[in-house]
Amino acid sequence: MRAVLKRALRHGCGLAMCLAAISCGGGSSLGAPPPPVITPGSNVVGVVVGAGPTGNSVNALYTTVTVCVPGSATQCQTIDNILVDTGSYGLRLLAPPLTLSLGVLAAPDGNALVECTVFADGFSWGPVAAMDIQIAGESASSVPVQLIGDSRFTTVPSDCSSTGGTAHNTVATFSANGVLGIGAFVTDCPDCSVSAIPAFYYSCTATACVNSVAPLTSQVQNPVPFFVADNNGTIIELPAVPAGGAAGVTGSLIFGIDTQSNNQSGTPTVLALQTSGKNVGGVTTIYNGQMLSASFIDSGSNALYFNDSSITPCASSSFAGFYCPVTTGSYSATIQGANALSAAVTFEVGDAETLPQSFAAFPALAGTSSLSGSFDWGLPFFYNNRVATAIAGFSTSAGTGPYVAF
Amino acid sequence: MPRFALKSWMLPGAAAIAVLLPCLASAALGEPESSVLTDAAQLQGSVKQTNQGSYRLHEIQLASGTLVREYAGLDGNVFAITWHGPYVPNLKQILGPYFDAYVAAARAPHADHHHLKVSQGDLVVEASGHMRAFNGRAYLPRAIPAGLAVGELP
Repeated sequence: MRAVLKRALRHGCGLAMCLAAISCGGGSSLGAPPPPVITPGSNVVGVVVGAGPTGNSVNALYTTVTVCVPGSATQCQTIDNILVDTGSYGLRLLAPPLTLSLGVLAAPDGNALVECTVFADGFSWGPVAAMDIQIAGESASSVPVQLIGDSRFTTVPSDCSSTGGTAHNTVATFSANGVLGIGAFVTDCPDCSVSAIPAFYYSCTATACVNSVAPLTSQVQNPVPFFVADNNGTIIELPAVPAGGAAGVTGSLIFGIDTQSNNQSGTPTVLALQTSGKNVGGVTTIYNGQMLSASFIDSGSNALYFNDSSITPCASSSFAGFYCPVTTGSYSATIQGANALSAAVTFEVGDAETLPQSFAAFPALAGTSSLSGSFDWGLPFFYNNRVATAIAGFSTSAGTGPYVAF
Repeated sequence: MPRFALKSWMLPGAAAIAVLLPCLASAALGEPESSVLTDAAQLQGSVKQTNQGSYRLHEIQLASGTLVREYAGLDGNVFAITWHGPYVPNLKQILGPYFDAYVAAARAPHADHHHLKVSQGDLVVEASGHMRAFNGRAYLPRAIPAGLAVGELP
């Protein structure tokens, strides 16, 4: 845990020294990383915005986790470059780099429980195994985790691949060594506990898989509620990033809300998240006089995604779907929770094509939305911000989850 | 979940992939609107049809909660499909002959796991969302009725 924090600090210092050597001068050089935001505490793990294992990530937030064979203090592995995602639930690790020998959980019929995790751009396939998880000073026992790309289950069922996009079963295609889903819910598929949802959980033999129900206790789950302490939510703190971008950013992922001196709520606006309908986990955005009721706040999105025909789209097909205004513009919107409370937000939109090759953080990156009524508040929303996510059913001094507060 | 991108997008990979359209008539996009019923049966959903002037809207409500909408022009062919709900529907079924082209183009490096835009000549597919809430649309720009913008489709 502390080792993780040190690692993150070293990373930040390394970047600073490197850039200082190049610029040879005082003041802030272009792309110099903003000062790290490191909150001290055993409930804090460092997070970085960096290029990631494939070297080309932009606005991707990574951290490090340690996992162990349940009950073992020696059969453990520390894995970095894990995406921090408030838009999903549960820990999913790529195998390799995960090399621990882990038994697979059983489906109700006794065969292996294997999951098809569907993302907007594709799917990841792999079995579910229980692991002990350590992040910073927090620990959780026997949490179901997905092993993506596990060599024991390599044949993807057709209804999984029929959801479209590409298979993300390797580090190269996933662009991370895993993903830490710490959104405001606990399990990844409540419906799956009562019926066999297509393209979700499967019961697999060595040669064939069929859709299966998955009891909640066997489903891949958000590890935070499993922590012994500091288990009611998370806070992501990132520094301000210059409008032109930065090579990297270092911040903090704090566990617990109002459980320690370093994670007090203060007096934020608490936006309750929707718990039913077509935008579960989402909020409403009021922008340009329109109510965008399918909006959401998501550290796993690398840009702000919304539609505004007055902002120039990129001409290059390589940047299709992103905005490329000649000058960076400032905009404002209001985010409204399911509890009708709302908060005003300002943001910037810049030219996506101007981001230098060596930069991994770009706060003015924005693109169009595939849904007219949606505003996706991706990682740029988290820069220069302190965003708390309270888990459904858990209380803090500011309210009861699911909510997002900032 | 977020991810890489900008530098990789500079490779014109997505644009270079040819659209191949095998002559299959199993599903809806680009097919006669009678294929909507095939989709509904395959997806085990219920269908509601309404006339919207320059097009006909077929709504397929899936038992999972996801709503699939198929838009047919006055020529009787489906020119756009949208989906919105807790689960991504079987896109192989509803994109039919365009599915393979979509999957091939989606292999090009792109922004993150929560967004995808594939645009290549006569097919555009956009998808986004997060766990428990997905949405997307696929359409044939050249087949959209005159005077209608994709963003106006309900």
